Amino acid sequence: MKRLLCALLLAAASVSCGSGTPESIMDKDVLVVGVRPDLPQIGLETGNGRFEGFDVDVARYLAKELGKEVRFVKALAADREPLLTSGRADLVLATFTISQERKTKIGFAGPYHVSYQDILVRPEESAIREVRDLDGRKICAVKGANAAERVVDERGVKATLVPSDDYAGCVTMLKDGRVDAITTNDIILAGLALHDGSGLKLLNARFNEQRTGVGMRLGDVDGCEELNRAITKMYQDGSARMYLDKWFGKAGLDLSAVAVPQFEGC
Amino acid sequence: MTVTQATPRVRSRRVSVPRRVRTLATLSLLSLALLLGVTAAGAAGTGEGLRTIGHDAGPQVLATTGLYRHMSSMDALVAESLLLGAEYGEQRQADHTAYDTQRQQVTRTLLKAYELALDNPAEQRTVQSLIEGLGRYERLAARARLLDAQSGHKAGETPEAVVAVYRQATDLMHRELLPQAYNLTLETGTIVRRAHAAEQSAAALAKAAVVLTGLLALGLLVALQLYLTRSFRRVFAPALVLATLLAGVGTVLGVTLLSRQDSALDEAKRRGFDQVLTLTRARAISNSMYGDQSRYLLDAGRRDTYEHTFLDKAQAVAYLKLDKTSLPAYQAALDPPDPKDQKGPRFLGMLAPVVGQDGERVFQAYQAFQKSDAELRKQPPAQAIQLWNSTLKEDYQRYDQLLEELTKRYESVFGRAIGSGDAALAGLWRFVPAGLALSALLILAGIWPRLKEYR
Repeated sequence: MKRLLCALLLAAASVSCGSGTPESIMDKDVLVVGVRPDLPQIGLETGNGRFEGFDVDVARYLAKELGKEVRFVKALAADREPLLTSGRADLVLATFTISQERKTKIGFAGPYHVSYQDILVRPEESAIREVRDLDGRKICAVKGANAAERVVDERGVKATLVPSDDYAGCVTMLKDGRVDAITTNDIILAGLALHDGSGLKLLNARFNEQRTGVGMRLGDVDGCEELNRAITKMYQDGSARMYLDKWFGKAGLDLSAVAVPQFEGC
Repeated sequence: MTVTQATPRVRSRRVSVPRRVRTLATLSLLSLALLLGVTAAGAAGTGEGLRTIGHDAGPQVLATTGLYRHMSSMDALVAESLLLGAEYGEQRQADHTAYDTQRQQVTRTLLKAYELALDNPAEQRTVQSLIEGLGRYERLAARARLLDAQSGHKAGETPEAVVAVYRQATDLMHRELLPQAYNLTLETGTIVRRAHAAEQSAAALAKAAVVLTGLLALGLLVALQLYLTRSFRRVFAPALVLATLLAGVGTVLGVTLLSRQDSALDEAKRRGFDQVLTLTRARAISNSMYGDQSRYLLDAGRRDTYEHTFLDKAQAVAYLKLDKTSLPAYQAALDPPDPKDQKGPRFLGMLAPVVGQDGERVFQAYQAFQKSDAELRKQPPAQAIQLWNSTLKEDYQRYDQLLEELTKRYESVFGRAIGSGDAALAGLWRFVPAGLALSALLILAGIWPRLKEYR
C-alpha cells in the first residue's frame, strides 16, 4: 500500500520515496549483527555459532527494543568495516571505536559505552600507577593494534615495546616477567584479567577516551535515531548497569558512575 | 406519420437535455467542492508541520540548545576560580557572579526542555536526572570553593585536596551531566526532523490530490461547456468560460501556495534549523575545550588526559587526518609553515558545513585559538596562567562571538522562512475558497438561462 502510494506520488508530484536512500534497518525483521568471537567477556564464540559477552547482551537488548529478531555473525577487528559496506551485516557491535575517518564510510549509532585506554599489571606491582610510570619499562605490543605505540608516540613515554601475536601471549609474558604491563581498552583488559584468574591488576588509570559505537550503514538516519533511543532506555532502565556488572563487575573495572554516553548524532 | 414519430423524440429531447445539463452542472459543482475540500485538508495537514517546526518544537529546540554550553561554562568557571589565586580577588568574584548567571540560564532552559518533553517519558527522565545531578554537582563545587577559600593559595598553586574535590565535580559534569544535555538536544532535533519528513510527504500527497481533483473539475466544466455548445448551438457561455478559468486558477494557486509553504518549511529546516543546531553543537564543544585548558592548568595529575580530551574535541570540531594522533601534530597541521599545505575550511567535522567567506572567518578565528593553545602548553605554569588569562581568553572569545553571530544569522533565516510559509498558508485560505465559490456561482449563472428555455 505504502509503495503504491509512493508510486502514485512519484508520478504526480515528483517526490522521492525510498529510492536513492539506503534501506533502513527499520524495514527488516531480522538483524544480522557482527560481534567479536575472540574477546572474553565482550564477544566470545562458544561453539555452534553461539556468542556471549557484553556486546552480545547489548545487541540483543537493542534488537528487542527495535522489535527485531537477531542473528550473530563473527566480526574480527579487520572484518568490521567490510561486513557493513558489503551488506553482510546490518549492525556491528564489536569494540568498534567511533572515529571521524570511519564516519566517512559507515554510520554510527551511540556510543553505547565509553571505555578508556588503561594498564594491566602483575598483582604485586606497586611502582606503576599511571601512564608516565611506564617510562623505562617493557610493555606488550599486539600486532595490528596501536595502543602500545600510542603511549610512546603521543605521550612521549620511553617504554620498550615487546611484540606479541595476541593478547593471550601478552598475558603469558606479563606473568613470566618478559613484560611489565599490557595497555589497551579497559574492558579488554578487564576481560583478560578475569579470564586469567590469577589476580592481574587493572589500574583504572583512564587515559585516552574511546567511544564504542554501533556500526551501521551510512545514511540510515531513522535506524540510528531509534538505536540511540534504545540505548538511552538501556541506561535509564538499569539494563546497562546490569550488563556491565555481569561481565566486568568482578574484573576490577571502576563502575561507580554508569551513565548514558554523549551520542555522536545521526 | 413523420410528425407523430417526431413528437416523442422532441419531447424526450426536451426532458433529457435539462437533465443532462443539471447532472453535469451538479457534478462540476461537486468536483469544485471536492477541490476545495482537498485544498483545505492539504493546507491543514501541512499547516500542522509548519506549526510544529515553526512555532512549537522548532523554537523550543533552539531555546534549549544552549543547555550544554551553559553547563559546561559553569564547570569552566569553577575551574577558573580555583586556579586563580588570592591575588585575583576581583576576577574570582566576577567568576562567581558569572557562574550564578549561567546557573539561572540552566534552570530556565531545563524548564523549557521539560515543557517540550511532556509527551516523551524518556526525555522527561533525562531532564529529571539532570536536575538531580546538578544538585550533586553544586554540592561538590561549593565544597571545592570553600576548601579553596580557606587555603588562600596563590595562582596556579591550588592545594591537592581542592583539586581532588574538583575532580569529582568535573567528572560528574563530563561523564554524566553534559552527555545527557547533549543527547537532549539531539533528541529534540529528531522530533523536528521527523515532523519535517511527515510534513514533506503530506505536502506531496496534498499537491497530487489538488492536481487530480483540479483536473477532474476542469474536465467536467469543459464537458458541460461542450454539451451546451452542441445542444444550444452557441459557441460560448461566457459565465462558464470564466468559471472554468477560475477553477483552473484556483487549482494552480492551490498547488503553488502548497509548494511555496513546503519549500519555505524546507528552507527553514535545512538552511535555518539544521545550521543553528550544528553551530550550537560546535560552540558547545568549543566551550568545553576552553574549559579543558583551565583544567589542564589546574590539575597537573591529569594533564595528559585533559590534553587528550582537548584534542578529541578539536578533531570533532575540525577534523584533520593525521599520521600521528597528538595535539602538537594537530596544531602543526592546522597551521603549517608553508601556507600551501594549509587545509583551510576544507576539513571534516562540525565546522565543515560553514563554507565560503564565513567558513574562512571561522577557520581563521579557530586557528588563532589553537595557536594560542599551542603557545600555552609550552610555557611554565605562572606564564601559562597569564597567557591563558589574556591572549588565549581573547582569542577564544573572538572565536565564540563569531559562532554566536553566525548562529543568530541562521536563526533569522529560520524566522524569515517560517514567516513566508505562514504568508503562503494565509494566502491559500484567503484566495482559493473565494475563487472556487465564485466559480460555482458562475456555473449556476451560466446554465440558468439555458434551463429557463425549457420551462
